[in-house]
Amino acid sequence: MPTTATTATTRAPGSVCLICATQNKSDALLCRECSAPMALVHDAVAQERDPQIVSVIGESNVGKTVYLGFLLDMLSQRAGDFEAIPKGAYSIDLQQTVISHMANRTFPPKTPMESNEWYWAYYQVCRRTKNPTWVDLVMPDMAGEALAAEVATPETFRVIRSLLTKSAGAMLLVDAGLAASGSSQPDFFALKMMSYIDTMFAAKRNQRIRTPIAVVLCKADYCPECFDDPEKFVEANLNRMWNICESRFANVEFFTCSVVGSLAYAMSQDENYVVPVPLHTALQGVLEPFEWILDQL
Amino acid sequence: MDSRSALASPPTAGDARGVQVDQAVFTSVRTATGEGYRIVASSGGIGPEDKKEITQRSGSHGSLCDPSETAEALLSYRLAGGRQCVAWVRHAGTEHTARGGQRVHTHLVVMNAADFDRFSCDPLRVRAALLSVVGATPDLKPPAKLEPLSLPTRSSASSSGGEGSSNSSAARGFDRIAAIVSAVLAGRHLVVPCSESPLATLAGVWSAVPLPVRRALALSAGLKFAPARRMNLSLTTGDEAATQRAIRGQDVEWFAAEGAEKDSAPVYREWLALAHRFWDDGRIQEMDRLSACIEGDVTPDALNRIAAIRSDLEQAVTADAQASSRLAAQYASFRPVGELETNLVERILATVSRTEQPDA
Repeated sequence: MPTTATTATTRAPGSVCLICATQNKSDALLCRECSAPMALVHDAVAQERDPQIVSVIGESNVGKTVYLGFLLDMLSQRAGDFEAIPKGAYSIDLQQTVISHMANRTFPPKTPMESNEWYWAYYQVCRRTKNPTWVDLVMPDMAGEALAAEVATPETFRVIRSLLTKSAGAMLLVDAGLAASGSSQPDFFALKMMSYIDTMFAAKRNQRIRTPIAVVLCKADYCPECFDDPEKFVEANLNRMWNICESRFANVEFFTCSVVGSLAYAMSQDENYVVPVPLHTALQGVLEPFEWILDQL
Repeated sequence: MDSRSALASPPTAGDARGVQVDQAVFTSVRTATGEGYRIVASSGGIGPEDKKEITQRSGSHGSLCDPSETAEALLSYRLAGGRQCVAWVRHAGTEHTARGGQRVHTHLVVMNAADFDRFSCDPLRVRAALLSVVGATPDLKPPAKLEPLSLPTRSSASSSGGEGSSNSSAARGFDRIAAIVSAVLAGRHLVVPCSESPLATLAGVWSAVPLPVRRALALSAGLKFAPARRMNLSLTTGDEAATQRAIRGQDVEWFAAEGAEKDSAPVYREWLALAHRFWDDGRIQEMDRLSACIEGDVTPDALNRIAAIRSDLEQAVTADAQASSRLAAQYASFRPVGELETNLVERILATVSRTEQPDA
């Protein structure tokens, strides 16, 4: 994957989509091809710095929205010596949605497949050092179903292909709780996703893909043992993905993450579904994958 | 022959034989191989390319304009492979992850263009037929492999006429319907915020849209606007600000109530006047049948001419001997264009001949 998106300075201001390079009318708010916010372009042009895309990928209901929401919130609260400045109100919508829902002890709503409904965040991030290096980061919250559809049939959602092609790094979220319970579904999805990325770049057999990919074991509160040794957990419980990572990807690191401290389940007498209720949050391992990705850029 | 039977257009769609269609279900259920919105069941005739397009254009979580349990919507579009897809979208209980909101369930059928013609290219008729076959309760556990479906083209359930009957509150605003029809006939791409049910608005609009335009039009009614759906006509309700943001700078027009109520000089003047009269008389189904009979030319001249002949047929029914003679003379040398005009003229001549010779 290239390490930067299209050079901001080579674009006609406010007209060419940052993600799919489609020419848009100057007053468009969303790209007519991929529905990415055109504000990304305007902000990138204003910064005169190439933004770098970090994609958060994973299957439906794995926790991408919650993870990204908490990550952005931690960054904007200067966690881990980071300083992060959101560019535009649209960048704050995701973290606000996540935090306000979790404060009300509900998970945020599902992300729709329609890409015009996705949240996008554009942040300027740096470590607070004597000579800080600012990085412009674009992070979209994609629907897991759209990712699954694109992986199953490439070109179904071109915006995803464009995003992954332009991504400087990616975080692949995997449901550790499900994997620990013996389900093969997280392993198969992760294998498909990695295979898709591998095929997309069609590297020769002896060339491994160098784009940094952080594999994040989510919902680790269900299986706290994976905090001890994430690699060992992946090798044992997500062996198919482990193998493709080893064979085809040169820059993969494994992390464990959990955001929910305790969970209750509720159901009403006249409904037959169970509602998970996040009673409180206890963030563990949210920042580390991002920190690692940033070090690799 | 009474006056009603003389005025009735010949039936163009609906016969005792059903049509064989392919079917699929797009919804969010948890299965052994995955979860979330996807095609969970389909019949063999729906190929990978069809599935790809259906996935791109279907509605997922929160896509219905109306958040209520009874909400429904329709999509109708021509697939790249040439077949017609009509999707009936409903809410089907709580979304299985219980993260808020309702599960969106889409039962869609895919048929040949000729079979779609047998429904007068009317998605409301297809919905009515689908309802009569699959029932009102969405199936959340369909087998992955479905059989093709046999849909009756003449359904006892309501079709377009039922949706937009004169009793409907939507019927009160024909000027608005006329403005939408004018814009649709002019080939404009519209997002229309509806003050009434989008399906009722669709029934009104469709009644005055001729068959060739119906065939070509991709429409959604009751679903939130999404650029990825690539619709020519989107009938929506709800968050207008969000929709206007989404279409800004796109080749789609926001067709708001203000300024679109009355077109002062419509090029389809006679055609719309006829539709207006039928609407006021509660005869929307007759207008619908007339529109469904039109083949070929849909230029303003052609439609206005058909409207004029159809109006003369109405006059012929109530005409006295003198007026009948005038109509007889007028249409004796008239050279109709196409099957519909020929049929209308024959009926005018037959009607006036009975008035001129009451004992015959």
